[in-house]
This record gives sequence, C-alpha cells and structure tokens, in this order.
Amino acid sequence: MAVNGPGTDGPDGGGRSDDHGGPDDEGADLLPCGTSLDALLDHLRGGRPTAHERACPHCTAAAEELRILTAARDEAEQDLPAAPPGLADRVMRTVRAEGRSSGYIALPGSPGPAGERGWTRIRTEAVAALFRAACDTVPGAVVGRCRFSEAPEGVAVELSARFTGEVPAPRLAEELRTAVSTTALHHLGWRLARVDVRFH
Amino acid sequence: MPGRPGPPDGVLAERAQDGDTSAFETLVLRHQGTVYRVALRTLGDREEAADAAQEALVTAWRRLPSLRDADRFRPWLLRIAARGALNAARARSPEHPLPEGAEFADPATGPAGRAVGSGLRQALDRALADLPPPQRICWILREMEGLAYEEIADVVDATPTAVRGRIHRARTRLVEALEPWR
Repeated sequence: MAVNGPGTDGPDGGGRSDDHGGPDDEGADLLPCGTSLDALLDHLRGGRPTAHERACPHCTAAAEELRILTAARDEAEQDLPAAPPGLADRVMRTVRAEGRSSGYIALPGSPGPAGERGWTRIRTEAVAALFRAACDTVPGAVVGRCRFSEAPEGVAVELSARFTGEVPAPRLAEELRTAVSTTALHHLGWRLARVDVRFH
Repeated sequence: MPGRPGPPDGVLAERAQDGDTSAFETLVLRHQGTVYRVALRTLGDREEAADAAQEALVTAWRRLPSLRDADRFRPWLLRIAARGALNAARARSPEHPLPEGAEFADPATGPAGRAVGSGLRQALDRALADLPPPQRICWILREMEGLAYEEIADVVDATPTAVRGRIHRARTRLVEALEPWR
C-alpha cells in the first residue's frame, strides 16, 4: 500500500512486524504532501475533495488505492440494519418503572386556623423540569444539570449550562437566574436563596 | 444517529442523571441503532442482538449516576454495549473462546455467520470477518458509525494512537481483500 501511517498498537494489535512506524506515532495518518488521510476520506465521502486533493498526485493515488473500499463502505452504509421496532419502548418501560428516587423538596404551607402548617412536597425532578423549561426561554444557553440544596435562607439552585450562541456569560447567567427565580416565585411561591450557574 | 436535532448528548445525559426520563429517551432514540449494530456484529443474531441492546441501554440508565463526563456519553454507552455483547457471546459456550471471525457476521446473508454472495458488500463483510476483532471494531466505529478517534479509544479502552494504528492496518487489509473487485 502506498499510504503510510502511524504504527504503534497495543498488545492486541495486528502483530505485523512492520507495525512500528517510528517517531510520527502522535501525528495523523499524513500523506507525503501533508494532507491527512482522514480529511481526504471525509471529503471523498462527501463528494467534495479540495482543489489540492483533486490535483495532488499523492492524494489522487491514495484515493484510487482506497476507492474500492470506499465504494464497499458506501454500499454497506446504504442499508445498515436499524434497531428493531419496539426496542426503545421496551427500554423506556423498564426505565420508567425503575425511576430514580430523586427525593422531594418540602415547603411549609400557610398556617391554618389552628396555626398549623401543612407541607407541600414536590419531586425534585418536577422542579428541575420546570426550571429547565424556564431556562429554555433564554436564548444562547442550554441547561443540563439542575440541582438543589438547602441554604439557611431557602432553596439554592445550581445549574450547569452550555453556550449555544454568542451572548456573554455574565449576561446569560443573569438571564438564567432571573428566569429561574421568576418561575420559582410564580409557580411555586418560593424565593430562592441563590442560583449558581456553571458554564462548560 | 448524528444529525438528529435536539440538545447535545452532554446536556441530555446530565438531565438524565438528574432523573429526567424523557431526556434519556431522546438519547435512546438517538443511539439505539449504533448500540444494536455493535451487538449484532458481535453476536451475529438479530434476536440476541436486540436483547443485548436492550440490556445495554437499561444498564446505561442504571449506571448513569457514575458517568463523570456527560459529554462522553456515547463512547461510554457503546462500551457498555460492546462488553455486554461480548459477555453474551461468551456465555453461549463458556468453555470455548469465540472462533476467529465469529464476532462479525451479517445475519441477512446466512445463518452460518459467514456472508455468502458475490457482491462487493458481501466481500466487505467477509473481509471484515477475517480481521482481528480489535481492528474490526475500530474500523466499524470509525467508518460505519462515524465516531472520532478519541471516542473509539474510550470504547475499546486504548489510546487514540493505538486506535489510529488499528484502523490504518484494517484499511490496508480490507483494500487487499477487495482487490479482485477493483
């Protein structure tokens, strides 16, 4: 084969004596012209080789060398076996039956005529879903984790968020805080002690 | 499958870790095909593969709290699937290791586990069956399932460099095996 690549492997590798390619082990599978074989294959797969890849003798030779494999792969890809119907439903039936004991958040109700308070308990999962929905109205971020802890002044919330746009983090965090605090007050009657936002 | 709209895996995995079953359902719908195919390629039997895929997905739900990096959900899941399928295959004949090549079969083309036929597709199946299993799984995850080297390294518990080497050797062997179809 004309294509040279890195050569190291673990003990379970192919075991060929020519496997050790020297100091380039950290590098990509590079052709002599510097083009990465992976990039070339990706472009060929998409039917969009670059001008260099169309003209360069190394690239065209590699493409020709791999043409039959690429064609076989494309053919196989056309009818990959799909997951059997009902698989996801069966999985989700078990998942929902098992659930996850995420616990409840308990809130004191207003005092009754005898001065006693009833308690309102809400599954943390339901509260998290409510807060995430509130965060979904804030453009530029998507919230994953939503966790709660008891602070002396009330419930503290911690959100993990990822950027989906260009809004700067401090502004996004403020908007998320406002959205969550407003929802907490309107839907649950809570004044949150704190909303922490962690971006990653 | 890639391209399905919705939040990225990492976000959904974090939500699922919090107990959000509908986030987990989205992940199941997104990855069940790959999980099933990984099991099918190891077991070579559609029913067994369906059972193994179901088991893998339920196991993933149970183990989700232990997933530390939610952004690596896919390789973590496929690792559960690959190991589960391998264990299921071994459980069939506990005293005998899998015969070489038995871990890749195309059930659509024959119950014997060996593809029959003369087309290019069948030739690829036969050539894949002849690869050492570590090369085969790496090549399939890269070329048929579109995983990045780093993800494959997570699945097979090797370094990305080792994965790169296996895929390179797999390509070389596959090209040689397909030479008559050129």
